[in-house]
Order: sequence, then C-alpha cells, then structure tokens
Amino acid sequence: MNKNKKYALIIIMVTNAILISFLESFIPIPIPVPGIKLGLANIITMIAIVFLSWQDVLLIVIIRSFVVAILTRGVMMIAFSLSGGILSAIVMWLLYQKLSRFVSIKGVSIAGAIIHNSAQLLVASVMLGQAVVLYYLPVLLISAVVTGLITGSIGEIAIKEVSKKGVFLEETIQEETAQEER
Amino acid sequence: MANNSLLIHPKIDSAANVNNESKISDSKRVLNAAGFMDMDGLIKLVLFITLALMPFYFVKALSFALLTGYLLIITLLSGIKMRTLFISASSYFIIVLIPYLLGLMINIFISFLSNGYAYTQESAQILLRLLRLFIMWFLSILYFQTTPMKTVLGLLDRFLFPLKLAGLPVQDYLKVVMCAVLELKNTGAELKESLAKSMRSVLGGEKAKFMFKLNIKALSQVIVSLIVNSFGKLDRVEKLVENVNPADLYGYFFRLTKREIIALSGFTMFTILVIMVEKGYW
Repeated sequence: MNKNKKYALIIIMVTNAILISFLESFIPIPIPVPGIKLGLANIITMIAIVFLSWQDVLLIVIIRSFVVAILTRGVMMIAFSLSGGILSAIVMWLLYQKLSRFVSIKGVSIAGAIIHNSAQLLVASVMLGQAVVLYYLPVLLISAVVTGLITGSIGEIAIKEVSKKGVFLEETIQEETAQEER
Repeated sequence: MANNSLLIHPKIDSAANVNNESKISDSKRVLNAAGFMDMDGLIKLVLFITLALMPFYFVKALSFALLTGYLLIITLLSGIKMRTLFISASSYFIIVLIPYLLGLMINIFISFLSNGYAYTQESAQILLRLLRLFIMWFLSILYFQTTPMKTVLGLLDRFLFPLKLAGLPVQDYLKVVMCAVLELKNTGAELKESLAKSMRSVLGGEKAKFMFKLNIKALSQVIVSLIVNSFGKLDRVEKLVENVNPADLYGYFFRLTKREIIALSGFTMFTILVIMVEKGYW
C-alpha cells in the first residue's frame, strides 16, 4: 500500500471515529452511569488493529485524540484521550495479534474498554492528587465489560463487512505474508 | 500566505476549494471575534500559558477574583459562543468532577458500613486544585476555539522541529491532521445530519429503553453502513493527500501589530496588579 493511500485510509478512519462518537448522543442507555460512554469509536480502533500495522493504529488513536481535543474539549482532554486510547490500543493489538486463538473480537473489545477506563481514572486521580477517585474504579470496570461487549459485537460485524469490501486487501496480504515468514 | 500558496498551486482544485471555504469561515470568525481571533498565535499561546500557571502561585483570594474578572473580559472580547464553552467545559465536569464526587461518596458509604476509616482531606485544598485545573481547562478551550487550525498546526510544525531532525515525518502527520479536519468540515455536517436522521428513524419509534437488544442491532446497521460507505471516498481523499502541499494547509509567521501590543499591555497591567496584591501592597 502506498503512503498516500495509507494516509487517506487513516483520514477516513479518524473522521469515522469522530462521527461515530457523535452518534452516541442518540443512544439511550438503559442504566445511565455517570461518566460512562459506550465508546463506539473503539470500533474503528478494532478495525485498524485487524487490518493495519501497530504504528498505524497508534497514529489513528493519536490523531483522533488530537483533533477531538482541539475541535471540542480543550488541550487537557488530550491527557485523558491519549492515556486511555494508546494503552487500550496496545493491549488490544497484543491480544489480537498474539492471543487471537483464545480471545475473540468481543474479548479484545472488553479488555480495551477496561484498560481505557482504568487509564482515564488514573490520570484523573494524578491530576487531582486524590486517590479517592479510584473508589469509582469497580463501577467503571463493570460498565466497561458491558460497553466493551456492545462495541465488540458491532465491531465484529463491521470487520466482516470491511473485509468483504476488500479495502485493506493489499495490506492484509502483506501482513499475512509477514506473519508466515515469522 | 494561503493566498500565495493557492496561486502557486492552482491545479489543486479540491484543496483550493477547501482552502477557500476555510478562508471564508476564518474571515467570518475574525469579524465575529472583533479582531481577538486574529491575534498572533504564539503571543496568545504565551499569554494563555502564563495565565494558566498563575493560579498555582496565588495565595490571596483577591488574586483569584482579579483573574476571574480578567478571564471574563477576554472571553467576552473573544466573541466565542457561550454554548461552545459550556459544552467543552461540561466534559471537565463529566471526566474529572463526577468520578471524584462519586469516588468520595462510595468511600463515605464504605466507611459508614464498616464503621472504619474514612478518607480525610482538606476540602479547601481540593477546591483550590479543582479551580486551578478548571482555569487551565478553560484557557485551553478558549485558545483552541479562537485560534485558526492553520495557525495551531503551523506552530506545532515549528515546535516539533527536533522530531523532524530525528527523521520523523512530522509534516506528513500534520497534513493528515489538517486533511481530517477539512474532511470533517466538508462532509461532516452533511453526514451528521443524515446520520442523525437515520438514527432517529431507527431508534426513535421504539420504546428505546426496553428494547435495547433491538437497538443494538439497528445501531450496528447504521454504524457498519457508515464505515463501509466511507471507503467509497478513498480515491478522492487519496488524491487530496497526494496533491495538497503542507504550506497550503497550515503555516505560522510571527507578527506584532497594534492588536498584540494592546493585548500585551493589558496583560502586563494585570500582572502588575496581581503582584501588588500578592505582595500585600494592595
């Protein structure tokens, strides 16, 4: 895949992630838990994990966090988005690439949601200098399992459909060849 | 600067359109903001960073009151929409305050049940820290909402110069960021509207809260079709990335005009006032 096509794919995936986040405002959550989001943008990270290299996955996460922070929430948001986004992407990538025999896409998504929530809470506690924030962790972890499962279910369908479309075909073949060589 | 670049690269139709659009929206913003928005990006950044750090050295309550007044004035001068500020600031409450307050509640509840140790803290200090963080958050929102993206990325391009020397394709990455922003501006609003429509038609009619299983199925249809259809514009976006020059998308040049001098004078006066308060002269 040439450089420009790769960048075009990254641009499309970043804009998709931001638009999907916008969709969340329409979704009624049966039991609203304060501070909880479905995290549907994670679907894009999962697609990237399946079809692209880890460098590209990180690039997508970093650019998405940067664009969202600048356009809407302010620069301090970057600390939260990046810590949660990068850590969860690394864990999800490792789980998918190394343990895909044992962990399904839904499992990968749940792990990603757990890491994302934990990292954000840790950053909040460091910023506030208050460990008391961590008391909220059990609530966040339980909800991460539920939201991760929902996101994972949708992600699984999306990955199948994208795979059928063959957008990443060249890249996937390259990846498979590299894995075989390994 | 964008004008010159467009003359140099007239063949880049899509990029030129995009630039013209952003130029129009930029000029609109300048008019709305009564000039504040057009202030030099670097000077504004230095002023805002100093303002954000100031509260960490304040001891007297009057200094906070003065800072609040000063922030209020620059917020009004910036012409920023209050709705934008409110939405951005609400993320601070959701991400920082809610977990803190709920964590505190859970802690009190546990200690009440176990009749044990309750987490003690100096509430005044916590309040002060929350206030300082909020000021930082507020100023960062104000900066990014009143500074054109071109300037922000232009400044980043300069600041990340050491990474360029290390061989990292910083320009490419910044180009990707700007293209993503332009893509969102160009097609985002239209897409948002159609997505909102399809979401309402898919979810609106149902008793959403009780039919969550059904909602997920419908939701996945909307999301999957959005993702799959989006790859249809791959060739167009690839062409944009290929043809566009980073200089057309972002850039920063230092300038010192009357506007900057007035802003710097106002800031200096405010700083002197705060120092007088802190030293006990007033």
